[in-house]
Amino acid sequence: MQRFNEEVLSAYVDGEIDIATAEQVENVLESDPAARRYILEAVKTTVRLRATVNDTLRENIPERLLAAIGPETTTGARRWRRANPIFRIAAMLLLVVAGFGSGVLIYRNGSQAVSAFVPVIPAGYRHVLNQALEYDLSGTIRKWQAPNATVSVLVTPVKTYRDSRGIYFRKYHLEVIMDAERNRIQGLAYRDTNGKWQTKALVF
Amino acid sequence: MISDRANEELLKEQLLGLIPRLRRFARSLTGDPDKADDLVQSACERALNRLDHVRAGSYFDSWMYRIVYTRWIDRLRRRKTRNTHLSVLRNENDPPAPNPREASKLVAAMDVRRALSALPEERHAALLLICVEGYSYAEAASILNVPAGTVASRVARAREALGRLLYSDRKENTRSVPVDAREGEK
Repeated sequence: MQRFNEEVLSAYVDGEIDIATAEQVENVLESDPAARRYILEAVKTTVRLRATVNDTLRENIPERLLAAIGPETTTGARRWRRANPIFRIAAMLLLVVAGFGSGVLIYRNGSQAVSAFVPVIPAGYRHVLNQALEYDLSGTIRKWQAPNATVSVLVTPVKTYRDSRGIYFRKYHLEVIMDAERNRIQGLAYRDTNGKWQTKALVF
Repeated sequence: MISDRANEELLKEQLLGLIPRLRRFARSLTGDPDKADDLVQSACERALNRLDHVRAGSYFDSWMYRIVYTRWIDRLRRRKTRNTHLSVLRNENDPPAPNPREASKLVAAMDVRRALSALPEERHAALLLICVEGYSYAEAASILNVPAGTVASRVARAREALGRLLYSDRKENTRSVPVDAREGEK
């Protein structure tokens, strides 16, 4: 049986391997429980890490740092902090740690990045997700049934907003029903400069 | 092409916007809020003295991270020892824990901080840049001044070490290999 070392699996989680290798990894994940465990632990660690250190983002910037840069920019800095959506996103990501159960997906934007999908989730649902994000109004449920009828996927965009830079974001809920087992996922996606929806974070 | 004056103003605005993330990075590196702000302040002052060498843009962010990281490593080398009074038991900025759920979150954060503090500095920094700051391996390599392959290796080993520290129920018959028993990094 083909196996990948931790470095390849870690790079897979980070979206740092090419698509062909990612597909090989996903094939291996289906039959290698230790590799699956590694992936789940890696993404779980990432979420815990972010939740721990992101507190700093919610703090006011100390006056001495503002003064070090220059008093004329102080007001601008405070205004920027209120307006920048990253703080809202960071705060939201803090919430997703609670209830972490069967897995987490963290996906970063990148030209060759691939998603770190947990193998029990069929690749087909990505297409459903993209269609729902592209065409469906918030609150609309889109359902997809796998050809073998063992997997159903429900996607519900729940909120759409645009940040100060004009980038669109959509929060959504995703429910995967597989052999009577339900996995509920919260996600956040944004539309990249090519017009495609990119998933920033998924929590199972 | 914008003027030097305009470029400087743009860089200052960019720096202000970057400060929360720099503080997060420095806080995790140092494990101490005051030392982190000292580090960020020092990096800002250093950067402001060299604004005429850099143009506003995405490169500026990674340049600032590099300054923070190199100044931290310089301080460590000067002291010959890492700060040991990390805020392991309690971060003074943590809110009080008024109920069991809050207390549970606090304990979870303590576990992560304790595990992070046990990592070698270079792995610690690589992990933060990739997993928290969202940089690519190539970008992190530029900040840390190492090859991208080294970043990949450091992140993988940091993850493995954190996993062993955070998930004590892990079965040892998995693919886990003790970090110390491995060959050196690339």
